[in-house]
Amino acid sequence: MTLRGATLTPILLALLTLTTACPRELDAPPDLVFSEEPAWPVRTHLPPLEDGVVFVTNSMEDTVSVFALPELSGPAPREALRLPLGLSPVELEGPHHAAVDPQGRFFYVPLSENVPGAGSGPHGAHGTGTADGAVVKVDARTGLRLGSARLDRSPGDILVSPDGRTLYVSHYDLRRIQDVLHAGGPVEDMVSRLAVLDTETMERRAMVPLCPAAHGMALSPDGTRLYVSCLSDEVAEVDLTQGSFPVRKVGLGPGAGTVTTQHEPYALAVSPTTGEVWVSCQKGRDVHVLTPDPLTVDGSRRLTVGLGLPLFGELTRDGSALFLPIQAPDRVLEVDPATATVRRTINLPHAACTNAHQLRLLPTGTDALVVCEGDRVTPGTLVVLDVAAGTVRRSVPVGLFPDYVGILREGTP
Amino acid sequence: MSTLRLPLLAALVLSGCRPASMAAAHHGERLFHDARLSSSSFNSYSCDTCHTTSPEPEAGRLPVGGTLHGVAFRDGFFGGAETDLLEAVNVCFTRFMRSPDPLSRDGVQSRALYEYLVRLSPSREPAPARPFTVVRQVADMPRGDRARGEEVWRATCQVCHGDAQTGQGRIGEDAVVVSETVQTYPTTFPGVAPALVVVEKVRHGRFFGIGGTMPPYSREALSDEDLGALLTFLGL
Repeated sequence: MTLRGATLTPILLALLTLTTACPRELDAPPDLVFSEEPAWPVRTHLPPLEDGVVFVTNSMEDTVSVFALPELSGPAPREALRLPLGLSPVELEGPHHAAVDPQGRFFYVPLSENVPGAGSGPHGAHGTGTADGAVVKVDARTGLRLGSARLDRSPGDILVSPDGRTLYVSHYDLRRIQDVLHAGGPVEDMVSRLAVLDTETMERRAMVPLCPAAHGMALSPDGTRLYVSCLSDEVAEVDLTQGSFPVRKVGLGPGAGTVTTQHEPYALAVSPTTGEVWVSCQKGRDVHVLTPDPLTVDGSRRLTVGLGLPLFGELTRDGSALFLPIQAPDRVLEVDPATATVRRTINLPHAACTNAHQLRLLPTGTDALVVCEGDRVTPGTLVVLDVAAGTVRRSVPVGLFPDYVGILREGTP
Repeated sequence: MSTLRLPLLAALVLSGCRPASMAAAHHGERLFHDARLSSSSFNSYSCDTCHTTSPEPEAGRLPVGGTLHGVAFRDGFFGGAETDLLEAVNVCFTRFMRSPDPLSRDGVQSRALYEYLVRLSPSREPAPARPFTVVRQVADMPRGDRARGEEVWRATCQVCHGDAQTGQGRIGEDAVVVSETVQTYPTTFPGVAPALVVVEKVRHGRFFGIGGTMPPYSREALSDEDLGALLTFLGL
C-alpha cells in the first residue's frame, strides 16, 4: 500500500462507517429519553362494571349513552357519558342494536350504514344501506375499539353465545328484496345471510343463508338453537351444534317463504323455562307462539295487538310473564304465556316515551328499562318502568333514535 | 497512518453521528415532519402536511387538520367523534398516510410522537374537542372573489396539488392536477355541475364512498365563503 493509499483508506473507511452505521433520520436513536408514562393514556372510563352499566345505542348519531346502573334507581338519573362509536369519525354509520359479552368484558355493536340523511353528493346518497355493514368489538371499561369485522349490508340483530366465543349477526337487507323484485328475480335471491364470527379474532367463521330480511334473534335456553325472524312470514331455526349450521324454517301462514306476506316477523323473545319462541310481527300486528323440539307453531295461542307495532319484549326469569313493548300508541303489555292473553296494559305517556322499541327487565325483577326511539329528530328516551306498580318511574333523554338497551355486569352472564 | 488509529477514527465518526441520548419529544418532532413515518411507499403526507402546531393561525395556511397545539389533553378529536388520541392519530395514519398498520400504544416511534404532542400542549388541563362540522349534504354555493380564491388555493390546496393549472410542485404523483381532473367531470358525472363535484371532494375528502387519501374540510377549516371564492379561482 502506498503512503497516499494508506492515508486515504481510513478516511474512506470512516465515510463508509458514517453512511452505514449512522441511523437514518427516521430511525429511533438508541438512547431516547422518555418522560411521559404511560404514553397515549386512555382517558375514557365507563362507570364501574361491578355495579352494572346500562348502555343505549343511538343509531342516528353514532354514539352510546352510558349510565351507572345504580344511578337509574336514584331520583334524577344522569347519563355518565356519551361514547362515540364506529369506524369513521366523519361518517354516520348507524350503530344498531348490540350484544354483551357474558362476562361483561366487551360489547359488540353492528354498524348498519343505514342512516337516512347521512349525506349526499354527486357520488350518491349515503346511509341508504347500500354499503356493507360492520361490527365493532368494544372494551367495556374504556370504550376503546378492540376489533371489527366486515358484514353484509344492513346488519339487523346481534347475539353472543353463552360461552362468549361466538357472535351471530342477522341482516335486514330490504334493499336486496327491492332489487330482486325490480329485476324480476326469484325469492331465493332475496335471502340474507347469518354471519357467524369468532369473538377473539373477529374473523368470520361462516355466512349461513337464512331467509329474506332476517332480523330479530334469540337463543334457546340451552344455547344449541338460534331462532331468527324472517320477513317472509317464517322463523328460521339454526342448529348451532353442527359445523354446517343447518337451517330449518317454520312458516306462520300461507305467505310463508314469499314476500307476499301477512305477518312480517321482526322481533323474538324466548321463554327461559319452556323454550317457547314469541314472535312479534310488524305487518300482522300480532304475536305468534312456537313450541320447540321440533319448532312448531302453536295455533291455539296468538296475540293480536290491534293498534300499534309489537317489538322486542322479554320474559321473566320464571317464565310467568312476557312484557312486550308496543309502538304507537306506546304501551307495555303484560302477557300471560300460558294463554297468550293480555293481563295488564301499562301506558307510556307521550312525554316519557315516543315509539317504544325494546324492553329489558332489570335483575331486580321489579323494574324494567324501555328504550324509546323518539321522533328521530329530537332525542329519544330511556324509561325506567316500575313493573309491579305499572308506572313510569323516570324518563331520561338519550341520543337520536335509540334502538337498544343492554346491561353490562362484570362476571355476570 | 497506523492501523491502530483506524478503530479510533471510526469511533470518533460514530460518536459524531448519534448523540449519547436524545429527548423522545425531539425525535417525535422529526417524525412529525417526515412522511416516512408511514411505511407505505405510496404515502407523501407527513403530519405537518395537514396540521400546524402554533396556538395562533399561521399566515398563509388554512390547514385542513387545524393546529395540534394543546392536542394531548383535549377531551375529543374530530369534533368529539373520537375520544382517544391514538385512535384519532391512527385515522390519519391509516386512511390518509396509507400505513398498513396502525401505530401501537407502546411502539418506540409511536411513544416519541406522543411526547412531541405533549410538548405541543403546555397546559395539562383538559380541553374540549375543537369543533369539526362535517358538511354532509353537499350543495352549490355563491361564488366569491377570485383574488381571495387564489389565496385560499395557496393556503389549502397547494401543499398537495401544487399549481392549479400544471400541478407543478405537487406533493406526489397521486395528488391530481386539479384543472385536468375537473375537465373529466362532465364525462364522469354527466349532468352534474363540475363545481358541485369539487365541493363534494373538498367537504367529504376520501369519505362518503369517494376514496383516495384526501382529508375532508370541515366548515371550521374552510368556510363556505372561502370555498365559493376557491370555485371562482378555479373558473367553476
